[in-house]
Amino acid sequence: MRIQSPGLHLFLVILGLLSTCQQKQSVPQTAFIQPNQDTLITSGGVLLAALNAEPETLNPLSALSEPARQVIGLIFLRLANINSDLTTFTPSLATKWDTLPDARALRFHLRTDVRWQDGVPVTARDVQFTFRLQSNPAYGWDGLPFKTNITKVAAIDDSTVIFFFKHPSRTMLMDAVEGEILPEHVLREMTPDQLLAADFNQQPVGNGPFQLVEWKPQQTIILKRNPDYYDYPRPYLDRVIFKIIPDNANLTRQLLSGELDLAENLLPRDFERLSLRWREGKGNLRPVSFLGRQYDFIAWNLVEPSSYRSLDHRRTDNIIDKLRPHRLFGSRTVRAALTMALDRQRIGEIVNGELFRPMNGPIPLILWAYNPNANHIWEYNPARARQLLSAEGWQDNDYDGILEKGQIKFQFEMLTNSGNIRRQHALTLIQDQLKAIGVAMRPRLVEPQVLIEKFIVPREFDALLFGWNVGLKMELTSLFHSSTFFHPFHFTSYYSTTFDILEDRARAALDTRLAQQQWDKIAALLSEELPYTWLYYKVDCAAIHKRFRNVIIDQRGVFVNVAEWWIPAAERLPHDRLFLNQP
Amino acid sequence: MIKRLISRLIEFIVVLFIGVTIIFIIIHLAPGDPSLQFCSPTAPLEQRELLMHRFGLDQPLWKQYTIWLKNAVIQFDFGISFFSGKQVGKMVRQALSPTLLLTGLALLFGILAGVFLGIQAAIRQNKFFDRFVTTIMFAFYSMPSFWLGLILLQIFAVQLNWLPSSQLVSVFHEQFSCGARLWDYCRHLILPVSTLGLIFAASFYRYSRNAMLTALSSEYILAAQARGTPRNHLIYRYALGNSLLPLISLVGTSLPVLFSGALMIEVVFGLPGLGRLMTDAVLTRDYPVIVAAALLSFFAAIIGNLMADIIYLIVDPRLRHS
Repeated sequence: MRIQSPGLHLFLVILGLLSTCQQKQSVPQTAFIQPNQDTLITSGGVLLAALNAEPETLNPLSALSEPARQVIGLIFLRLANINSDLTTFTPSLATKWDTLPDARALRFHLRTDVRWQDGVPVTARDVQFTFRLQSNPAYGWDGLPFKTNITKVAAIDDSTVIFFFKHPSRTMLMDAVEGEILPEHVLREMTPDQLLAADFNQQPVGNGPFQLVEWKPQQTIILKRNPDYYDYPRPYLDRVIFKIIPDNANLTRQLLSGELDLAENLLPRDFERLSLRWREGKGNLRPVSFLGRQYDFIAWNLVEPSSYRSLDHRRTDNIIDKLRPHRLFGSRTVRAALTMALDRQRIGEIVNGELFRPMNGPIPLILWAYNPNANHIWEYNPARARQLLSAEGWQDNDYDGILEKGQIKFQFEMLTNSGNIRRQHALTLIQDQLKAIGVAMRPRLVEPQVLIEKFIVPREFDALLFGWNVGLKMELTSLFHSSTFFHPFHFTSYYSTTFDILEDRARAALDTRLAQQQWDKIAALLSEELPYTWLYYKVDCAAIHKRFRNVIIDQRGVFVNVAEWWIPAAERLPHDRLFLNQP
Repeated sequence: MIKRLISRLIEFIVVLFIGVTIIFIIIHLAPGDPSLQFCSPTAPLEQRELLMHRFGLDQPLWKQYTIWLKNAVIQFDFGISFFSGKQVGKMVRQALSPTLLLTGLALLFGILAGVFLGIQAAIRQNKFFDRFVTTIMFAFYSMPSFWLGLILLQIFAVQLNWLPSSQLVSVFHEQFSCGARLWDYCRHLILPVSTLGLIFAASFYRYSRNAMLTALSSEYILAAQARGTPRNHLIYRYALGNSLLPLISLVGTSLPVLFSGALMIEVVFGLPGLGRLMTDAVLTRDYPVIVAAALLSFFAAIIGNLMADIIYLIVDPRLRHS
């Protein structure tokens, strides 16, 4: 489980999103595989899981990539773990918590039977120390924004810790429990520079259900059950072995040849193949599809790049006076017309098969604030799109098939990152559909790093087909709030005081109903103003060997409750017995 | 000869210095900002600047270069990976062993198979054996290595399930007995070594066959034939030695491949190695790793050429006496 990255989203969906899963069955949001009720839970067994890239570190403070977070989640504990409703929490390192009378402090009562893997007890001082590191920008922790509302963390005694907040908020609990707890006795003396190259990054001392045995670069990361884990007899599995497999074809081969038990982000054709085998009763791999954490959209640059270039990037006052609207997309009517010219349902179907959901507004489908009725829906209507453009003065006076307004032709470039076949297909479809209303769009594929540095950060583009990975905290600050105007991914240059007020209110609201009202207004505002044209929300595809029981796979990830997975003795494979009775 | 060797060594040092400089500059001028790669996208500007400072990227390029050169030449320290925080030298060393094992075995297989078949085909020019082997070898020569690898994988790993499809060793390698571990290594190496080896063999086959044909049609062979020298003596005593000379250059120029030429094979077979290390580093703009890995390949290229020159000097009397 991981509450991903600070803001709402904000991880580039560049790796591996080639998905066009074409399974015809309905798509559950959460996949549960229940234990056999008539079988006793037994310990023992090995999970062979795939990681699609080498983790950069196993230090929770400096990990950024998803593979690193997946492994870290099994080695370190948090104070509490988020539930599948993405709003409530289950105790973990903390047994319980309560709000102090002034509503600006949360008191956590910690377990007293948890030890670091070197035998030292985990105490409230570790929690206090972790906050000190997390909130120091010099350590570069990516969850820093979660902690900005926290003023102090005080260890009252070994098992009690209090988080003090600047102001009350609905997300106090989420903010407090974000991030794994670190061992003070190991990291106390380290400066940020020393931590960058510390042995701890490769040989972490954790407190979670599993501990690191061996990390062979580019090959495997082997974890074994932590014999001193507080929640005995969990974890039930003896080993979790991660195989680092960046190549999708290789991943599928290993799944089919029984060299892997679990893999996610499967290619659509592979998922289809596995689903077919499963339905025919041939394979041992259970296909699992669930509403994921990724969506794609078109971002319109709302300002002329030259006017953005001239701004002082350290000052956020009077921005709006210094910016010139984009020659094409500065007009909301034009953006609306372009959105109506796109058959987004059709685009979604062609590039994702059945495994997608339409997306019409800014709030991701898995978050509590999502309300499909709050979005303004722009139906596919090319005739109306042409009328709107005509009313804005865009007409084809020279009969060359491209609209013009005075000397300006309606032609522009739409960028996307190379290496993502799904987006490349979508780009071609968008080009065709825009051409039908007299708009000439030139698709352009750019290497991801170049795209970010040369086009996105300096905002030197007209339009961009892009995607976000969704975090579990409800906020849109990083994308649209004026306080983050110069952040790299506020690249549409959207600026609206109405939005700022609404979002400030939504985040400050203590009552869920009031917060929902504000988020509904935000959804309506953004889906009408269209800094983005939202395209589709992706359904994820995974596969897991059928011998595992009590597996929960959902939008929180595929490793949510690995400590509770078990294998019936009768279904063990030969390698499941290799580590039985071993420490 | 000594004078010639010294002159080649001086050239070697100058070329190495120029190459290193070019590699360093090109990599640092290429688009892609590491601070965006290693920092949360939502991080404030100050945090990114802090990271740039920590990586030393806030310094002018010439200063970065002189610091790197000083550390690399004097202390043999290639810095710390931006991505993992590990010592780059250690990372490269770790990645080097599996790559050398794979490419070394493949090159050996390629040379032995290619040269043997090339000579046999030349001896039997235009006969069935020659036509058959030449066709097969041309197919391997023109086939991308990853494609050949995929075909072998499909047959031997997926369909027949005789051999493992990836990794250098089994994940349960440590649990095996000593003999079983050795067999585990072999099983994992058979397919990647065969794939790369067949591609090498095809290349060596072409050269050795042509060189042998040229040697067999030379006047000194005709003269020896006229003197009644037995055919085997003629081929293996007179023609073979001379036909192997061009192969020295070929082996020399193949040396860099030992370090970096197995990228596709490493990816297809999920093997660890320098190729994958370098690809990952390029994608994440991990400058210290890119520079060190590129430097190693560059070093291997000029060492390969230098060694080929030296061997030529030793084995070719015409060069020795010129």
